Amino acid sequence: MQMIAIARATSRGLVRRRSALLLLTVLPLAFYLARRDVTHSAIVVLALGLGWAAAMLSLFSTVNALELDHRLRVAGFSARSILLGRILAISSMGLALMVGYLVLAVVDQDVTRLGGVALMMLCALLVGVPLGITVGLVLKRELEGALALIILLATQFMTDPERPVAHWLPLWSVRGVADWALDLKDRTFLVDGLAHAGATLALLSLVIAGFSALRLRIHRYRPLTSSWSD
Amino acid sequence: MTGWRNNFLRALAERAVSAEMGDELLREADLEAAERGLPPEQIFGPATAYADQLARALRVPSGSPLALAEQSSPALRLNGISKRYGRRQVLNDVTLEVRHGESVAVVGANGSGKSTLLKVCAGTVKPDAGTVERTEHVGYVPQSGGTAEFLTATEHFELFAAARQNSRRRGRATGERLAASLGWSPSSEHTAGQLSGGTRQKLNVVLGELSGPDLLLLDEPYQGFDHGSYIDLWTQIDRWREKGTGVLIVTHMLGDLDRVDRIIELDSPED
Repeated sequence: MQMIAIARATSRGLVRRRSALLLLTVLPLAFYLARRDVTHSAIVVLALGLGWAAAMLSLFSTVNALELDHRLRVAGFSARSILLGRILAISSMGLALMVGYLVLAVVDQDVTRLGGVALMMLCALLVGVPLGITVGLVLKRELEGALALIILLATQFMTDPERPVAHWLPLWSVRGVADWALDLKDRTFLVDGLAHAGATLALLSLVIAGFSALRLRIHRYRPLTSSWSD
Repeated sequence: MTGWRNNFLRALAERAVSAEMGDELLREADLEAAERGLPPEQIFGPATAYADQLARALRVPSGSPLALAEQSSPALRLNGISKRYGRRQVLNDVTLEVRHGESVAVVGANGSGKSTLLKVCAGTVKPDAGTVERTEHVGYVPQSGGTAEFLTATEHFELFAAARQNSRRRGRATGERLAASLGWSPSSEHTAGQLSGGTRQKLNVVLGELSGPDLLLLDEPYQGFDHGSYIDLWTQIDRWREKGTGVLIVTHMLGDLDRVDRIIELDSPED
């Protein structure tokens, strides 16, 4: 019940930020249009842009809600409900966006493995949301968080995916799955990409669990029984 | 409708007076104005001030003198609380107790650690030394923040109701009733970010008491309140006491300290 309440409140708050949502929707589209004439690049940057947008949305939601979250914790919410509710709300919005971009990719490009393209976008979304939350919980401030995401994700865009260092970047899975989905390479590339997404997700989950225990902690007290008689 | 009448009705509606009652009060004002052959503003003064006076009179009075809470059990007990930020000692060996049905004011100079003390009580700040004993069910009203800019008041009520597994409908009904006791009728159109400072603070107070806590921690809850709302808040504090809620309130308004049971003064900060 608490998780659903948080998800509902987060969704309502996000939906009211229309201009911010519009800009985040435009972000992957702008990347896509810049590379539209090369199918592989166009779809890869579209997926990376989706991950970037999801990470940004998660970052700002997390940082903006930190004070409210403290209060909700005092009121009786669990840290787990707060985090899962927020992830549910942002992921749902990201999924809606993903479906739209999947349709765009199918209609506008020559796509052989539609499921593979969907998997690329899903990897971007599943890593992007916890990545934004992680950066928000660690840095606690919008500007610092936005700059950190720009450093991470711009580096992701600029780095040659074949270089070993690229494997250490959070959204490498998108490029790994793309090799299978778009360049029709063998399944090893798909497995490597999904394994990278799974490992990144596991690592981010661990960091979120640690930092949420720190940021949303209610310190120990000795309970007093409540009794009152007139 | 003249400006005075229009302002009068609007001010009554903002103070949670029903439309029927508002119309009746306006009719009475018109009648008296007609009898005396004067415009209502000359008889009653500014419409908002007159509406405020009537709205407060219509609400439930604070009632009989309050019983002292000597026999009740403690809702909060702090023992030897100390807190330091870097080199600055903010709290030094603070010991206090708040019983059920008792209100205690915390006063002190700026920087004396009043807000930190409340955060220690709430559990969001860890003391360096000392122990906190308290009831589990706490309502916390921070000095600022604590609301979501893009949610309406009603959506806040629904969200906070989930803290104690209450339904959304119950949250809405309780929130609107508590808001009315502070002379406020929440609009379903405006988000918290669009509310005036005083109204947003009323939302803040209502959220603190929404689940009927055993202990209320209030950090200067009247910021931005007009005089009428300020009086309503103290009336509300009296009601909480009557119900057995322990109230710890950080305040700068030293003129009203006769309304609390005890006062704790924190030491001035070290230079």
